[in-house]
Amino acid sequence: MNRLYDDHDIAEALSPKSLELILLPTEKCNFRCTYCYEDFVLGKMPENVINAIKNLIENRTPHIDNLSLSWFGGEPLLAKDIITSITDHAHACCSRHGTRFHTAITTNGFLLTRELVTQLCEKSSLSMQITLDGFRDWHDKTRVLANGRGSFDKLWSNLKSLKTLDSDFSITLRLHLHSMNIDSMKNLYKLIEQEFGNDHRFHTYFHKVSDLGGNTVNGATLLSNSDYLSAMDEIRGKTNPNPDQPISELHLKGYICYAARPNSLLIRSDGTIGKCTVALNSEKNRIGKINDDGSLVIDHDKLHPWFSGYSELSRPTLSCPLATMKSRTHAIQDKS
Amino acid sequence: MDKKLSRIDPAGIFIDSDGSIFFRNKRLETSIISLESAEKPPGVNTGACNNGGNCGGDNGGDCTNGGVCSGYNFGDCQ
Repeated sequence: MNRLYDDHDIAEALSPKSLELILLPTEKCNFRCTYCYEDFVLGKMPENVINAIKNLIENRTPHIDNLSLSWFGGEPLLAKDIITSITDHAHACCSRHGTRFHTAITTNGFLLTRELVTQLCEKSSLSMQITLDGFRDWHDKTRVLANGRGSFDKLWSNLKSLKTLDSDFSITLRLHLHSMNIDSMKNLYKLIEQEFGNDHRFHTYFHKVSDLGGNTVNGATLLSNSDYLSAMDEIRGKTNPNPDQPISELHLKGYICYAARPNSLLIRSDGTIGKCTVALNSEKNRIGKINDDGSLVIDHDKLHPWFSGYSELSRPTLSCPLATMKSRTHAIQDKS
Repeated sequence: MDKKLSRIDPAGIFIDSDGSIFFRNKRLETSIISLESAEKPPGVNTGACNNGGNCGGDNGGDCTNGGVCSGYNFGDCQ
């Protein structure tokens, strides 16, 4: 047993008083990132699923203290109308019942506008996560538009434009690292510090490129953990003063993945309910569906393996239940 | 470290058709609700923690948010 969690961490993850809905308003994307694991098959969320989610929110808000809507895709900003429609509804429900309301968006940032950010900030606390793969030279090689063009200049101009807003939001710039883009990332990091270093709303967070499936990642470019740590020091121009200070996924303590939290549900654009945003097409991740009236049909035999980390409070399983489920499947296959 | 919550049976956690979460072990459910709503022990901040809510995260900078801050933040927690 690896006991790194205090009771409060566990209680928060299991709390019936909170609800996080990870919503995929469309699974289409305007980007074709060279390492992406998604297949972009499902399109925009139809009206009956939108209304079903509104009904679920309406039914749950009287009974919870915290509601969080996390927009994911595909590229969620291709469906801004759905985001604003559900957000407006959730805001009204939360206001009626005194429920705290948070909105999060994981976006490539290309379609991010001042108007949308202002609008969402008026309805909820807002955090956004935007990925950069390096300075223009590298970002435009890997985070390419569907038409093949680069995306860096437009993204950078959108970020600079948000800086001039008065609204209180939070943007995490997620910096993807692999062995080939370290110099480019160093240049980008300097630019981020110059442009946003004094703005408390902008944060950086490193993430190591890893193989999530899809046959698009060149294994030779993946960093080992020790090389990754050295690269982060080199880019930041300093060693981490506090080894517990989380500047990357390697620095997180007591992290429990949303997929391991019973109070977090993924709802795909066709109304399928899942737990994990990575294994979108895995049968293990199809745990149920939402009906038009907002009621849920949950297959508990499929749901319970996502919670297996709680029996021993296992850090690897709670921080990524998918990885443990995969390794168990491989072990069973190896034995047979 | 508090150890009220340990060895939780994953098969005893359910999501009802209305979206509510319930536990087979009702004593566990009560503990979870009371622990979650209790004030979280202060986090480790290299800056000041002046927020109006709870700050349970480890932050590299100042924590001045108006609500609960339970995340781990590289910079200031606002």
